[in-house]
Amino acid sequence: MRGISTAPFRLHALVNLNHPNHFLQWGWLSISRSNAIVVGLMVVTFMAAVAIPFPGHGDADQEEVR
Amino acid sequence: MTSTPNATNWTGALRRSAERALPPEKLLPESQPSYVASWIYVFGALTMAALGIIIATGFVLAIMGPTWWHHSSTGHFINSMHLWSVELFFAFMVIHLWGKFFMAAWRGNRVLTWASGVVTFVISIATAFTGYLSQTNYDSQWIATQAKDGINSTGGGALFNVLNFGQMLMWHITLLPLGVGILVVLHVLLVRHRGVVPPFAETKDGVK
Repeated sequence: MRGISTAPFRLHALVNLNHPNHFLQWGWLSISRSNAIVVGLMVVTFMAAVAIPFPGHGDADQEEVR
Repeated sequence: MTSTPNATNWTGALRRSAERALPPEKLLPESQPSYVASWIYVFGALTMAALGIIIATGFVLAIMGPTWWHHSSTGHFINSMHLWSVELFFAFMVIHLWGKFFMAAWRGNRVLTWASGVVTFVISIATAFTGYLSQTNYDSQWIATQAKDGINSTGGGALFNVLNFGQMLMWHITLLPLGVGILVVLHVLLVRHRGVVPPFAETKDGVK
């Protein structure tokens, strides 16, 4: 039976994921570095969505938008 | 046979009730209040867009089967699209949830809208979980053997057996997506019925 090679996927991966995950530890809280990065990106996206003005919103006095 | 406008059968009553709750201009509006022009209001639509890709790629995976998605380039691509649209679905849904939580989106008789979103979130987690169990690879075997102890500790293992691949696949491609689909439609209809929740500043004059 032919073995499954991961080489084609590693060639195309932007980040080499072919190793055990690194974990961050603060007391009772344990989270993988990759999950922490994703949560961080989501928080940044949320804050940006609240802070960045929507195009065309500033000059609109109208009650409704289309 | 003729129908009378004031007929009291259940179909007529249901139609009149639906028309009262969701007249066409409310069901498919051409404009939205000005406060909707904010990026934070975009994430509900983004969540549904991701769901659309999940459903479309899921249909393809169901038609073609595991051998195809494991051993062909196109299969790998569609399988990856299914996975990454799920990742984006959850990221968008959680940002949508944060936004609605901090603006207390249950205001103005919108409790059902909020609750239907919360239940959709929970069922989506179960749908994704059974999806990970349906990959037919070492990852799904690992997840199943780890999860069985957790499920068994709740007493639910006899009914919901994560080691039973056929059962998990059926949950993943029939029951749970049906639940998510029905709840999303209900959620959107409730948003149309009650309107998009305004930010706090808009409620100073009593507007809800």
